[in-house]
Amino acid sequence: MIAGAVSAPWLDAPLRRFVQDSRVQRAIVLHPDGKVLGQFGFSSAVEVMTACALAAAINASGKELGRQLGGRPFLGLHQGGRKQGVFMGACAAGGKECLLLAAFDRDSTLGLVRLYFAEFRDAVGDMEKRTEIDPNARDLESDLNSSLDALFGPLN
Amino acid sequence: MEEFDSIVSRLQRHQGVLGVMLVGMDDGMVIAGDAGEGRDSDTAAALAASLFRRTKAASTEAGLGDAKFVRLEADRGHVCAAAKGDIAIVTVAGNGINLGKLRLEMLSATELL
Repeated sequence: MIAGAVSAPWLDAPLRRFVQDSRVQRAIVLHPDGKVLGQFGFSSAVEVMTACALAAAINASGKELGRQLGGRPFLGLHQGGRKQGVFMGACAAGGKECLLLAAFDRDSTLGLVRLYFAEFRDAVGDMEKRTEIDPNARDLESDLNSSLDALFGPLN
Repeated sequence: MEEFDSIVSRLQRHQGVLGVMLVGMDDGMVIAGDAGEGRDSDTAAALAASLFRRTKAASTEAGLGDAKFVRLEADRGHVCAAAKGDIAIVTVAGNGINLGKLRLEMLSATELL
């Protein structure tokens, strides 16, 4: 069982199911601005922070590249390696965009990850009004830090 | 790609075959063909590749060597898979199929990969 935590309770069951079914090693769900919503498989806040920052940057670059090349943003990304792969896909929860970033080894495949990501996307897409924008939303760093505190406890 | 398409066409001509796909074993993605009308090829390919990989692992762990052919029997038909290297041939067939002949044809098709 891969350990994880979510700061958004509605995300727990779908993300847990995705991780179990797709057999990914790590998965993280975040808003495109880098605010983490939940994760499985990460062992420290620093790892989550790094993954969120990179995922947000990759998403922004990929979207812009898609716009420039084909007029539409790319909706998914896959980086394949000999032993490990990374998949990132966009989904909507309560009308707000979310990203799921997953790292997997040879225990899974891109096909499986895509398959179960589609189920995850459907599951969170059904959840209305559960990702309302925080009226007290602050800047990216504050949001990220508060999310990480919720997941791992305050950093010393 | 023509070689792949010709393998798919050859197996599709077999009576009782509903769908034929060449699937990447490493990524579980469709290379050629489809799972047949009304079936989601991406889903079938991902699950079939996963099934074959796990069966291969189980076979090796059991000291039986490499798995060559896998057949899943279901209520309304069969899913068969044979692989060579990084590519698996996945066939979806109805209940009335001649499984022995299909197996031979699939194994001989793997030699063309």
